[in-house]
Amino acid sequence: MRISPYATLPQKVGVWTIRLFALLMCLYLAGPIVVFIPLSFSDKALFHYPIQSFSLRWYHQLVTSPEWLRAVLNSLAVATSASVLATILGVAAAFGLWRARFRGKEAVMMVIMTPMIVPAVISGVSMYLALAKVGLGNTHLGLILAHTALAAPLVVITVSATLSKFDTTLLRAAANLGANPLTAFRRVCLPVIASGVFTGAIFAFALSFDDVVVALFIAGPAQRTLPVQMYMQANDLVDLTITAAATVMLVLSLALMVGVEFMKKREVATAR
Amino acid sequence: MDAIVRYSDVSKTYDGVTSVVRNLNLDIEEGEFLTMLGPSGSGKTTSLMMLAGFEAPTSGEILLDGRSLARVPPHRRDIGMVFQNYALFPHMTVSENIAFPLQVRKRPAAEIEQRVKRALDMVHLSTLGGRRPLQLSGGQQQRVAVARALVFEPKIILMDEPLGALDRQLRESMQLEIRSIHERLGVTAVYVTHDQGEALTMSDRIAIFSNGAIEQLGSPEELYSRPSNAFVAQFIGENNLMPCAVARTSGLECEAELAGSGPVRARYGDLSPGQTDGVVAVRPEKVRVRPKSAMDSSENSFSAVVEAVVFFGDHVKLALRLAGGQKLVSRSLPEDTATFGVVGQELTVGWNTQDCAIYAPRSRPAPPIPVAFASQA
Amino acid sequence: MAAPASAAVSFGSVSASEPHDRLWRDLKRSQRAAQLRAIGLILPLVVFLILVFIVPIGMLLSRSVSDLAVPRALPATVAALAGWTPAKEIPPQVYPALVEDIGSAPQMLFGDAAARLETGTPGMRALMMKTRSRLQGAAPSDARKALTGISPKWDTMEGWVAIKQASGPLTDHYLLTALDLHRDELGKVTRVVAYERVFLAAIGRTFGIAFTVTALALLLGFPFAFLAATSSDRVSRILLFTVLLPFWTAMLVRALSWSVLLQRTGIINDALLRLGLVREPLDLMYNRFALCIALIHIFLPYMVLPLYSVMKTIPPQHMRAAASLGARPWMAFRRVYLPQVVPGIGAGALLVFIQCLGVFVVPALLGGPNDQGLPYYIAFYVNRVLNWGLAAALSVILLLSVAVLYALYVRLSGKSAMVLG
Repeated sequence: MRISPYATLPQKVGVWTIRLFALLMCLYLAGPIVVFIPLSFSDKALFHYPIQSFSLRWYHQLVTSPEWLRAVLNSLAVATSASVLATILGVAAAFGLWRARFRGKEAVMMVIMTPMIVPAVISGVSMYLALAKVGLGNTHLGLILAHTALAAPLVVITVSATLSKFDTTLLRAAANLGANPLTAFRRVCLPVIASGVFTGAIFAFALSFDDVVVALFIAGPAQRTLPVQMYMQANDLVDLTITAAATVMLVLSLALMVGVEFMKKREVATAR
Repeated sequence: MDAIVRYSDVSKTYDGVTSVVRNLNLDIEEGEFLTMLGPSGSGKTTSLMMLAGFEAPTSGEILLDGRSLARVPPHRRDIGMVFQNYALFPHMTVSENIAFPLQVRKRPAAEIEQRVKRALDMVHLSTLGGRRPLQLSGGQQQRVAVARALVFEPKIILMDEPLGALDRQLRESMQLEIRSIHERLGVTAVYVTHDQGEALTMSDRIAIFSNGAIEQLGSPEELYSRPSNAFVAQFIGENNLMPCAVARTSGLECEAELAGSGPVRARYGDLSPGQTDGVVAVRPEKVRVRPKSAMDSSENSFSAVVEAVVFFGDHVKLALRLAGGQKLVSRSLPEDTATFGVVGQELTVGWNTQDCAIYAPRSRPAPPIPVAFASQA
Repeated sequence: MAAPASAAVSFGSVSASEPHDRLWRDLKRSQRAAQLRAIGLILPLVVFLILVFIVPIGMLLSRSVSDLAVPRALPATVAALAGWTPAKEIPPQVYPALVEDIGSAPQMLFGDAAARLETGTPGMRALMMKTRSRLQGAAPSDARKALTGISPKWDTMEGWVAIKQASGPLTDHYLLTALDLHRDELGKVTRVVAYERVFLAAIGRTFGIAFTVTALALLLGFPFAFLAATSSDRVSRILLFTVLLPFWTAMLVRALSWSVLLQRTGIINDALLRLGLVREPLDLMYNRFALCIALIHIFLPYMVLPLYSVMKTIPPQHMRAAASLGARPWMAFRRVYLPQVVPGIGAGALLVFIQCLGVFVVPALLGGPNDQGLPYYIAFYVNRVLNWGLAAALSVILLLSVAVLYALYVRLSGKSAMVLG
């Protein structure tokens, strides 16, 4: 916010107040997120600043302790599988919704969106109840299915948003130039909407990788994901592996965020 | 039979109530440049889309080289098309766009490379093959679209308002370029536009569409000098249309009365036998103006008052009012009217019988006719 | 070539020639085929979600009204009590019926029924268990004497009312409990005794915290979004990045960050001690303050991003036009700017509010026992007490609240999904 040359003293004070406010807000928003990063490099087993000497012992712990390692691997496996499944189901559905015109489309949309609206606790409890009934309680498959259900709406939304901007005459042009429908889809439609599909897949991965509540109900000890493991250890003031885990999650989140921003740029570059 | 495309009784309706195209019969000859001209909503684009295969006729059929297209999907028709907004693939380079139709036809790589190069040369874009469409100007994109539509050597190329997005100057140079490509390749071209100037300069033949049907089909000269009805007379070029009462028809001529101004003799237009109401059509450049005192030798001669004078540099237009209140415009060389072309001046106007015609009145395009009624017509 | 001017048009017309009819049919069929293909693409996800998500939710919610434990374990007793109301004498045939049921009910079912009776009337589990162990499978000739001999309670209404009220198959017991209500012996709905009233307070607390957080998020988020929308590109990008950063960080990680900051041995206490401002570390965690400050931090992006996207669409010329028309800055802001931002405020506020209602992890990590909302109680009754009916009833209340607010959000924003930006 620039200070206009005609500003009176109170106006100048006002502008400076707003600038100070913005600075404090940035500190409030970004500050807390990074506080545990230095702790994760401490070599003392205490949740305590200042740090006397640095080491990588907690990262070592993260990848060698059987519990933590299993949690990391579980998280990666579940998030990857759920993201792939959600992307396949979500892209197909987004396409169908884009092409089809039928009564009750709104109702179908409502069904697809419910997982985004229902509070996580209710989702977790319900799916725990249902998965146990069909013998999928405490299984990886059960957790993957649950995360797929939660993530698929995100894929539908992002892909639908890209499709709504897709110019259908491109498909006509492809057909006119001799491409059969499948080729036209593969060579023309998919590359143009690829950014939306990738964005959806990233959102799905992030959702699965970040989820605590649903996994807390559905996962048995063998399926424990990284966030669940962290949640269980949250009140342990001695073991700082959790700070290393949080740092790893933070770095991964940032990578996913950069990925999505990159996709946005790419989309702008190909948009009409 | 040398018609490469034949529309046979083609009708199209989207809702079952109103016809977008009505009983269209049209032969397109091999190698010609045919333009479908008409106001928006006249059915010209739909007719083109049916030929390309993006719309299906509700009834009737379209033949290509004597074979029905009813069961041929768009990608098997081998008809090139330039879309209104070009529809270039944004994720491919210019070369990749042009190579696309050859790739999906599984041509060998060497041939593809060679033909893409030739196509780029043809539209003078040899140096821009590596660019993305969005990095090109409108005119360049347009040329890529033309090159892409022609590279697989289709027998027909369709163009749907291809110059609509360009500015005026670029449009004129692209008109000449498209025309010259057409002449060089000898390809049959079907061109859709609502711009009559574009149609007149480019086409071998023009089909004038209105309300889903063809009003007149002919060469630009025919359409201009011998419009077959009041709609065409009004749609192509400028025309003065004045209501009149038809008195007598004899052979190719008829006599009528311009109320309050006097009798008029004109060519016979499209009047029904016995029809008494009509409109006289005479083009401004055919209207001669003389000082009031001068004798006019033309068959049709009236006295008029000048209401306005508009100077255009190479010509001047006078807005005139006849004694009976009819209004018309004349167009003449500035030096010819210098002495008497003054507002309020009385003068004599006239035109030859061969330069005017009497048509059945059609003040404005009739509303779309419901199918149920059309079938009884 | 034939070109009849009055050719028949095929639509519904008798004179339509045969090939035209075929074409029309083909067209219809090809359109239908395309529709079916499209629906075929949607179907897998819809079926998947119904099976994996919608049906489970239905199963949970149905537990809030279904009441089958007692009729399953004590079918004869339930039948014997069928016509009875507490106003009448205890029917004599219920005594042999109960003895028969106790003799034949499997251990598991009987345990479930006893647990169910306990939730309605405290002391019933002990009574049932005692009765069962004393009877030991025997079938005494005088059932009434045997039962009243085991416990004089079987001679009073209370036990029979408890069984009667739990005799299913549907019940309003859990939903009433979730609203601190119950049915008395005569079946009238009344409030439970004061020390048992917990749920209305919990509901109120859930909404109260959500309201506080939403209001504070709006207070902080509005000027922030305004700055982001009106500053130069570079500043705007920095501001948006600091909003997106917490948005992308996992909620758990953000909650843990606050616990690192606020613990007794945490950074803030450490700093305060070093500066000599306090002698003893302060208890900053496990209270309402900690919970709210973390929740605002976590949900602020949901407020700022919708506000920003609305503010971005308001051209600065509007304010300039207002100024040129003589409006003072505050007037221009209130009359010209604010009305255009209202939809963004509504959308942002509802998003934050809805998220706050359902949040579980943050209160669990940072809040004290008095800061827990409905999600905590749902989890509690599922994990600790195994009272599915009550968990389901609380879920009904939470889900209804969220659904109403979500419908409001859809009407206000015109979006069918909670999408940001």
